[in-house]
Amino acid sequence: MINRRTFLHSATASTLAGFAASPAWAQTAAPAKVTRGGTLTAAIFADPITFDPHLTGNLQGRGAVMAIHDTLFGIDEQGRLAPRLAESWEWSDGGKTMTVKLRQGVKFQDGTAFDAAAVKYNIDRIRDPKTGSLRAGEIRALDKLEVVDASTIRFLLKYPFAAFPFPLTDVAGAIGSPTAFERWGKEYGLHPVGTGPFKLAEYLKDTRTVLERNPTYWREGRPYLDKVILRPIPTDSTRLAELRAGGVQFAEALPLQDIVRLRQAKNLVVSERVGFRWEYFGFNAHAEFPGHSKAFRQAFQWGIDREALHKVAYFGTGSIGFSGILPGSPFFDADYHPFKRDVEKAKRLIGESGLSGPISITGPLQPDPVKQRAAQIFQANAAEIGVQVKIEQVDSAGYRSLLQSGKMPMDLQGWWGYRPDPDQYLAILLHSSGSYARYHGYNDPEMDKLMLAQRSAGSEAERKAIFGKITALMNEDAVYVPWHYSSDFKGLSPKVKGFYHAASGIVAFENMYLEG
Amino acid sequence: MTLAPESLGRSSRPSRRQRLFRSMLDALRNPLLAVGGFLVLIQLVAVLFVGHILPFGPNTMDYNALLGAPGASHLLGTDELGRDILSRLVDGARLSLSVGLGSVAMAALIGVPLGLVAGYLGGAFDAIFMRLIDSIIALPPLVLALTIAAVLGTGLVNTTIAIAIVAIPAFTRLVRGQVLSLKTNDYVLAAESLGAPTWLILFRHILPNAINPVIVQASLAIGFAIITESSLSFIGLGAQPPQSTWGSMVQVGFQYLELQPFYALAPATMIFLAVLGFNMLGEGLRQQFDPASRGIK
Repeated sequence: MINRRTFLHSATASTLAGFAASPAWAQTAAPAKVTRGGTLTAAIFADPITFDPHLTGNLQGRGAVMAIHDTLFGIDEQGRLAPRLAESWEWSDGGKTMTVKLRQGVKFQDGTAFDAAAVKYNIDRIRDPKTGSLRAGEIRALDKLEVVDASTIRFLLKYPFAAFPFPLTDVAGAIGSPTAFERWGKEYGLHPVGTGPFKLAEYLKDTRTVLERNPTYWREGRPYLDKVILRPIPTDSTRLAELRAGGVQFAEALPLQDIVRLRQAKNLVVSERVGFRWEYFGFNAHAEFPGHSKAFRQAFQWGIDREALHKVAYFGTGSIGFSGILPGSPFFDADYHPFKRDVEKAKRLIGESGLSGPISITGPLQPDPVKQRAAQIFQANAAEIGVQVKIEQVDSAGYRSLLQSGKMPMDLQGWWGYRPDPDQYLAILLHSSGSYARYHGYNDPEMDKLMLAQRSAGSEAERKAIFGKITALMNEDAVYVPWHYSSDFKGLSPKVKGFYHAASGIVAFENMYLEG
Repeated sequence: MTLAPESLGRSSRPSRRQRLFRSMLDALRNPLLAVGGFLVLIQLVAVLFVGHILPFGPNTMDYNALLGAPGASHLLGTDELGRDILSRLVDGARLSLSVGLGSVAMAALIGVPLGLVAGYLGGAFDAIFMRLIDSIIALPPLVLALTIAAVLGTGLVNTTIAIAIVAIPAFTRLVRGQVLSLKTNDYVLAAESLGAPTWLILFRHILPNAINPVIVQASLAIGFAIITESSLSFIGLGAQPPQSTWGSMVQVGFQYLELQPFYALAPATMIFLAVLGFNMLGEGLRQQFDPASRGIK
């Protein structure tokens, strides 16, 4: 059975299939004709580390987990919730209860039947503190889980929450075999069993992950490939060189400075997905830091040179940003351009900030090339409005511990990656109970009200209006000064077809095939 | 060798100035010394003078010339923020050499007196103290410097201190060895029997005779210090943006190797030349000071 999502995947994914519907192409290429078999080798940025859906942390781990496991829900091209292992769903009790009908006749790779009890097992495992799952926070709104019958499960929430199912489109909603969880326990991460299109065949840390076709996959005919090999190659130039040399047919995270040049290359295809993540400069509003002054923070809304940041830090890729809502989201407002650089106004705001003497602020910085460029432009911009920025290079562990201590004067490299619903990160950043809000000392009762209002709003249009107010207030408070929406870039050999570039950056290998 | 004509008539014994001039000429005949000295000299000239005549400041950004190729206005091209690479290279030389010279000076100032005292006093102090020094030597120098720098925190001053600590044992060991052989010489015994204070014996009679190997060691250590600083800066512990030393330039430039090769290659070449220069100078000085190797030559 093909649902709307998978149809769109195969239809728009490759240029070949995309043109298949047009008459000119219909004569030369048989429509929807795919080549079966073969091995696709993909260069990934980092090792997946674990295949346990409840413990994985990085993008590569999530990608591999979702090749082995299916998720309850998917995301369609418009960024809306779509069926996957869940066939349909219904809200009741004023947005506090969600009843989900599950797909029937699906089996895990070890033969265990997929049913409501398996879903409950997985969600309970996430909620069990002993698991130590990173996903527990994502389903905090869940109060109770009821198995209605073998193919129906009911989520009872603590409060009305429209965005609740969105985390279940990602690893939090990836369902593993309860038999395998029981058998392997903590070791499940190396022995994953899902209902997904691929099985884990081999895993050599930092060397390769081999995924093998699941012959009993429930979606008829998928996957097309026999094997997918994921090779972690952390160095940008090496990953690119492998792609060009044909050692891999697919590479993620292409270096931004090469994009313009690579687009002209004949032997590879550059795929761009806008709305991959957004960037901000964050300030600590606790009393001991300059960021406690609202005027000081606001000065940067006018003082930073977003054009230069876009051009230099991102080499002109992606677009200038003014909010935390990503392009591609149904809540994105393309006409929202509230700031234009005005150094005089910024200086005036610094003057009104009530801060005396030479103002100096320290920001830690990880050795990420994009952020190194951005931080130095920020430093130059700040100097123009009379603020000295001291950059201190740290490693990622040092950065995180400093951030989490609430003692980081400013965050030079704040960013959030795509999540299907903005609430998934805005609540963390903006609601006073959110972890980032606490780190940054952000507490605005008006903002708290708005965050709760959007959660219980009845319609998408209503939520969009509230997200507009949230964005305006976020920029007024200026604890986070947004400046960019960045794109994700992947490189493909022209032979690779059927690729759909999802905003999450996660690749659906089951739709891909190698031509010729 | 011909002497300067005016000195011929005055005295058959060359004056101090003449002896110095002669030994310099003599030194120039030593290719190691000549080439090493030249390499070090041009770096010092670059640091002291070239920076002032370059048209661009090391931190002046030009967003319209990102990763620009070498040309008439930017001789080595521009970096990822449109800054002139040559200007940054010269500015980096200032910082790299400051760290190199500073850390070695610090190490020598601490290591040499320690070696003098340990060697001269001997006994329990020497035994315990030298085991401590040995324990520092037992650790790989880069790892030790890395650990110390990580503990002290980022920045060039802390990097200098970290490198100095790592470089101390070599000076201490060297000087102690010298002292052990010198302290039984007649002139030292004579000074002792005349009741000269210990510090006077150490600094007046022993140190001047032990100093030549120290100078050699210092010039070799500068090469090591520059490499260590580069390594520490390469992993982000040294210079902090917008400052950059050669090491941090290689670190950042390495990411743009295909687009702007000079960005990483120019500072890498400078590190190479600087280390080569100081090592040749050190080796040349060693030959010059060591009668045995001069005799072989």
